[in-house]
Amino acid sequence: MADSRVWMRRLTSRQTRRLAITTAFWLMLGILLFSILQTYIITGEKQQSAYGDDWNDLNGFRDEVSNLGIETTALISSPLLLTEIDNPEQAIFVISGVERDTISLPKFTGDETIVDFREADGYTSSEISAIRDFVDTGGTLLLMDDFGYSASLADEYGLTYSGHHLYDGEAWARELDFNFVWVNETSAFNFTSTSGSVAMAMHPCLRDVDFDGVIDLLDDEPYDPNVGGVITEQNVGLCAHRWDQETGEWDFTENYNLLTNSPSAFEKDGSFNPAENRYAISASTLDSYLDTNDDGNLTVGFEAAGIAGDEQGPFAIYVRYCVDRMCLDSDSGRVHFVSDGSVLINSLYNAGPDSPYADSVPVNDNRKWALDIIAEALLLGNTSTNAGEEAIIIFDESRHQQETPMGDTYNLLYYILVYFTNDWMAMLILFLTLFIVLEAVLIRKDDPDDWRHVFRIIYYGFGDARRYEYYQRPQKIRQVLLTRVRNLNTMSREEFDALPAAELQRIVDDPVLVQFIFEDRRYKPDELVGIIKRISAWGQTTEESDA
Amino acid sequence: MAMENVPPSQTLHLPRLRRRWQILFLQAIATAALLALLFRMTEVYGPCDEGFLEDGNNWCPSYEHTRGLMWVNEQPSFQDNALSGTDGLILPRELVGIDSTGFASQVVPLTMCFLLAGLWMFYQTRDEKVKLWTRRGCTGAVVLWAIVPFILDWFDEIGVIGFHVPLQHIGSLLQPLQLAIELFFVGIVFAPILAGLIGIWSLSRRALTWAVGFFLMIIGVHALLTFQGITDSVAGIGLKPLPAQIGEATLYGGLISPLALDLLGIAILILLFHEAGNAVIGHLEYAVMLPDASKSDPEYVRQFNNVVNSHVLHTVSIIGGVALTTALALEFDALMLDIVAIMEGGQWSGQVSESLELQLTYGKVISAGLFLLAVAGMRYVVPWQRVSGLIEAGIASLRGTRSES
Amino acid sequence: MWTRKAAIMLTSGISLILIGMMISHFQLMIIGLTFIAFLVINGWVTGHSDLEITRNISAQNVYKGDDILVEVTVTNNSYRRTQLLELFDNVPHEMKMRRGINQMRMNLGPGQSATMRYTVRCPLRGHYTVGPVSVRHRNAFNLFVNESKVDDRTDITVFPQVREVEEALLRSNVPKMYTGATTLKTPGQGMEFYSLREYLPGDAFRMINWKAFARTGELMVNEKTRDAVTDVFIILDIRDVARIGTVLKNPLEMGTVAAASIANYFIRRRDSVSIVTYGDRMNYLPPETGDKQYYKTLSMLAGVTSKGSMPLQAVTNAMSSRISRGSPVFIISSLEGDGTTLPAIRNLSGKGHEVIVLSPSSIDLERLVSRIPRMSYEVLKLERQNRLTAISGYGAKVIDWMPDIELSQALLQVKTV
Repeated sequence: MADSRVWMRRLTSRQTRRLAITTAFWLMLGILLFSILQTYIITGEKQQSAYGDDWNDLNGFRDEVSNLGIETTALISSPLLLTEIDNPEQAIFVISGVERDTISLPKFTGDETIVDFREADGYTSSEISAIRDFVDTGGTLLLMDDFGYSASLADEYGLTYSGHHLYDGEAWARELDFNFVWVNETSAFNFTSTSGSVAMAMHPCLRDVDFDGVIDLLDDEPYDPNVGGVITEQNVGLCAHRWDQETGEWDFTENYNLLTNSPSAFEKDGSFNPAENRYAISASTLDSYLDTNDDGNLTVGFEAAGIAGDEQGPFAIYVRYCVDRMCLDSDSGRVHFVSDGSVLINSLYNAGPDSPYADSVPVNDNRKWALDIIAEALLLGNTSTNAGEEAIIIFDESRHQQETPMGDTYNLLYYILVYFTNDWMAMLILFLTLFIVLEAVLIRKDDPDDWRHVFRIIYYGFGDARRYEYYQRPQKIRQVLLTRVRNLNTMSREEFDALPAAELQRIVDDPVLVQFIFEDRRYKPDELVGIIKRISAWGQTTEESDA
Repeated sequence: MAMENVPPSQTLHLPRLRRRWQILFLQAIATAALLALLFRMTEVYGPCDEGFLEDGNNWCPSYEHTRGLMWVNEQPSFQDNALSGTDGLILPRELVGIDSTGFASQVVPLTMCFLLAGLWMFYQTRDEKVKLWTRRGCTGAVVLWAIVPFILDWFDEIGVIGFHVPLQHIGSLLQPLQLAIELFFVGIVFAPILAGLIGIWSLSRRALTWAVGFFLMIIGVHALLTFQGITDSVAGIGLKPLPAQIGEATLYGGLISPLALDLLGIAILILLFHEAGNAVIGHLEYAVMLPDASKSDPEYVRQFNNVVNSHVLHTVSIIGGVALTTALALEFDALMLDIVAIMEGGQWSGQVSESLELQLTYGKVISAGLFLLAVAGMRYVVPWQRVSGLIEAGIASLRGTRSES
Repeated sequence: MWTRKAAIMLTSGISLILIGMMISHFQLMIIGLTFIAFLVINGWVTGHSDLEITRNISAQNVYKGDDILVEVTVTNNSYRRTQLLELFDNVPHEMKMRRGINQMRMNLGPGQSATMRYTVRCPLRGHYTVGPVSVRHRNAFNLFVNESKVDDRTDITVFPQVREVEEALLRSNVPKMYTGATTLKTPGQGMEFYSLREYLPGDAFRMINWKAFARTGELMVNEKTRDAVTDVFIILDIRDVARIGTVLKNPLEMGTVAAASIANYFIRRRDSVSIVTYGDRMNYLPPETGDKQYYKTLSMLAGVTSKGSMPLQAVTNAMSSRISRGSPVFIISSLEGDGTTLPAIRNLSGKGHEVIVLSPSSIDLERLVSRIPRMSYEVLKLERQNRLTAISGYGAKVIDWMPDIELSQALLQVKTV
């Protein structure tokens, strides 16, 4: 019984309550943090990484460009860092699949709404803005995604991902299965129906002005058809993929047979808009259809019955955007959109007789297409086929799953750091937080006091002003006088009380005091002072006479 | 226990303490740091943007005084001066070093700062009455100097054309404004030096803090005025921004880059100046607090010496250690890259080793943070204090003085 | 613990790094990093506290107003430097530093020691404790502070001052009936030898006469004669009202001095002295004589504090059976705020005791700290005089003790009616 009381007391004690509240607080904070982190660190398939070597990763592509002498680098935090690139016109930003969303804050709009609380999935608006700035200043973006979170980025350029699987009744890889769809393009440099091929004007690996079979970059006399140039393994540089070393022939073709894996497609509306410098380069066949109801089968629509069918092709698969019209200016930024995140994965990219996937994967032009894009971006304006010193290919790894939670956490840390020092809203919040913390430290943090011995003794006083007032009242003074008379005449209280008035007058023998004893009226202060003096004097006289 | 006698020169009385080598050493360090800070700051934050100057502009808000004075010198409304005739400056040209460049332009103002700091110390030791009259005298002199030329001009003119409203002589009243502007330009560079010197030698914590605050403010203003967000909207400031990249570590065997050395130098000098200056004040405050009996108590004297000696040692070793650690921290990203590169094979290690972040500032900061964290944690592993204590105890026992302090 | 400076350095260091990153300014970042590096490097230098501290004091029992020399020796028993160490000996604030200071900054190497010396004056009676010793480790740049206490305490008792009152008591109107110890020829606890007797269980060992034991082979004990002594009773008022006045000058302080001095006088005469204090409760020290009693008396008086409002009559009633017949009774009280004073003294006088009332004039003590209107003061004085007169009317000897009058002088002012 006693024990239970002790326990109850312990449980309800201040200390326990404090502990409980503190624990609850940290628990709450932990849950909150966990739920936030959970949106970032999610388990999923690790794919399409330029640093992975699985069949669905991109290290084949990265290794090849790296061997070509181009610096490759990974972006593990946020595309916000693109603003720090010194020579964007020499840089290519490769996004291959945007597999996850990340933490973001509302953004400043710059108009009357001031702050926009809606933030699209995938890249944050400030990241999109950084990517846009990168492209506007001459950078090249290669965006390959199908069902990921890149809708907002595509939207920035007026494109919309359909978000549905694309199937093709005819153009699918028979060696594999119907998920592998061929996208064949015969003239990849015919940007518009009227433009004709602009390859000669804009692609350094295809430009041969004098048609002597040697591209201008390798031609000793580019404008003299009689004088060519010697093409060697050493000088082909970034155009090596166009040269057949064995036959010595240069591949001037402008067609690509791209093999895609479970592709999606762009919405028909807006995928081609030359006025906005957006050109749909490759499209699926007429037999293709989008599995809009996501049932995995072709559903034929029957409007009368109210059955919505799957949408029929063709659909834009590869769209190109140029900052300048048709990318004719060498400094023009350019964006290549592909509605399949897998076009450059190892199994498709390395297809060929030497490939480990040679048995199953048919030969395709994915590699040629990708290396053309690289060459176009990095060689324009150059006088040789080698990339410049500053040339760089940046792979976006910030939106890929990492192998380990540690890796995810590391990337998250970087993301937070980069985000909070680049995004305006985050910077504002961070700045305010720092300010508050600094203020809090200044206000709350105290040093231990300097030691000093203080000699201190407290003074007491009886000080009660009302008590003093009481001793100024005539009644009290009268009582003191009568006590004094009684004491000095050695009378007991009873004797004194029984004393006749005349006798008292005789004893006192002072008319003023006698009058004071018997006359109960209001006295002026000076009168009272006089009376007190007389009382003191009376006492002394009596004592002296007694003595 | 019989007390030994302390020689009068060794007691802890303030006048004697101020002549102690340890105290003087700390003050000398602080002063040297302050001067070095001035030179380093003018070197880094003094120049304007070359392009800006080539465009015909003469002045930018940099940490340098002669350009501002030159501007005053060239102003047509500041040409006539009562004291210096038609010289465009009120302050003597030699005094402010306007006709020199670089170090030569700073020598005389610096000497003036020392002189003023000395005068200030002298002024502080006078009694209240002298102080009051000095203040009044200075104020009166300035007021007279400001008004008398105006009155003389006016009266002179009255003699010629008779009484008139003195509007045309208003120009004489511009002199105080001109002086204020000149002092402002000189003060931007030398006010923290003067305050610092007063702080160190006249023992004022407030002046020390003010000087440090001023330097930080100059750096902060420079940072803001060269921030792209600001320069985009406010063009034509003309400050020379710091390079965007810290550069290759080429100095001291690949330890540090030239730019990082300059910037780290400024940071270390600020720290050294502040700490050494404050240390002197702290020790003297303690000594002043002691009663007379303790000031002559051999134990107190011995322990005071112990404390001050170790402080001198700490100032030198710790600030040196901080410089080295920060330099290493700034270069740790290169080492990090190497370390991560060793961890081959994994997707994550691959991308981290090539990551853009590690090559940019972020990598520097995070790797520097990690390095500092590691250094901080190492103290629990490395028992250097115990080792040094054992050595010290060994030496003491060899000398046979272990029992004495 | 981090100091304010360290906390500011850390937050401003982080802030500078982050703001430097925001606006791409290396200088800010490097200053920030330097600040943090400064903290990190300083973290390597920590103080150590394997200290041995001893305190020596010149005296543990002193009289009010005496000085004590304190020496605190600190020894670093570890193999590490202490680094900057501040020591502070906690001295009660009622003690005044006379010479030296109770703190010291030091930096002790392995095995080294330092001694801090200071002298304190004890102006207030009471039981005090010097200590514990507060130890504060600081690093050279005041970034980290580690504070602890070494629980080394020394108790000090400050006795009330003892005044020389012999001459005053001899010359005063106080009855000269206290003749000191006279020896009665009956066995008891006395000084002189009475007889030898056989040892009985319960007898103290020190009573055994070893020579007789050697001679006779039987345990024999010495019996002493009983000293016939006069019991002097001192009743001290320590009620709450006894603190009227200043800390150093109030009825309680004056009363303790008087009680100690009178007790000293009578104990030296080998009379038995009993002290009774009353405040919130009554404390009674039975009559005894000798040095031990003197020490007990002083200790008791050193510890008294003013509180409570016990009436005097309660004390006299309780004590009536213990006060031996004819014993003189000293009552030391301001006589304020107690309606039972008169009947209590009347009873004592009625029982034949010589009652001497030593009354510190509380109204005059109150005047030291409080502005009393002149008229009120006069009336209060008259009332006090009335009270004293009434008491002397019951045959008690009354001393109106003014604050500025020495005890010996006051004792000469005994008046009777």
